[in-house]
Amino acid sequence: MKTKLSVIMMMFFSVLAFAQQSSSKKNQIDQKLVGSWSGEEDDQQIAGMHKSWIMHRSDDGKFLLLFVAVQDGKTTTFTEKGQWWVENGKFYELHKGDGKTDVYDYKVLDENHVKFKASQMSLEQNNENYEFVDTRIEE
Amino acid sequence: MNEEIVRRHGANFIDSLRKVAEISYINKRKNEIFSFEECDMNSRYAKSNDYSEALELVEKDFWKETEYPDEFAFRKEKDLYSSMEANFILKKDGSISEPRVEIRFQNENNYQFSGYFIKNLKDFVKKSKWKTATSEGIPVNSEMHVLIFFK
Repeated sequence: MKTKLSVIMMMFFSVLAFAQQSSSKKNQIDQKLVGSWSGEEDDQQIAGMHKSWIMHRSDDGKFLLLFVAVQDGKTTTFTEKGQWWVENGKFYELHKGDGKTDVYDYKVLDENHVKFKASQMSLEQNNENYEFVDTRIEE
Repeated sequence: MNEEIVRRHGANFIDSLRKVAEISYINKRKNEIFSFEECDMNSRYAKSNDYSEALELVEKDFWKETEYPDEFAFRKEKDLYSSMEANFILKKDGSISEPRVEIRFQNENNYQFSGYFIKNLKDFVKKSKWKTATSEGIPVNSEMHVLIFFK
């Protein structure tokens, strides 16, 4: 009886270990970042440009980003799709358009505000210390 | 004109001048970063001395250490290939810059594993041994690209 129980226990832990190994290959999601968010910044990425955005991060790791940029009185809008995840306290934003990933340090200030600070950006920035705060949009 | 130069200075004279000019040009740019194509076609992967073999060996070695996730959707016969590429600077002293990885999957579902593959490729590049690139035999800083295709 004791042997049978040991075998069952061993099988259970093997299955558990296998499942953990498999799921560890999937991108990790921080549920605190899921939802719809807005943000804005001036001059940080490009001098003389005001940018505002709405970001929707789903809990399956997909994101949809709508940007509005104003420079010299000219307004442009664009959307980006991609994948997001977190790893070792950093936030990863992979843009499907060019296959590049921006990496940020992030801090959840409260349930409605998250601060992001550039760690490794795919494009050159006007400001190496690029940072912004996302504010949750009431749904 | 050409015939006269050859008659007076020999058949290799123009080539030798060209070589001198190229070496002088490279020495002037010794602290710049050369594009991959500007460098000599020597292997930059320490495990091989052959240029073409090195490109294949890098990919082979990466997949020796990287498992596909169980739920990974493999390419079907008529699908385009999914790939990822690590870009970094290989410096004259043999050290490398932080690799940046671009990744593209044809099957959207595979993006859920992007973090895993990006991390594995970065780790692989960082721990591999690289040989300094040369241009006209002179060691130079160079752009490096490691391209990996998915099954």
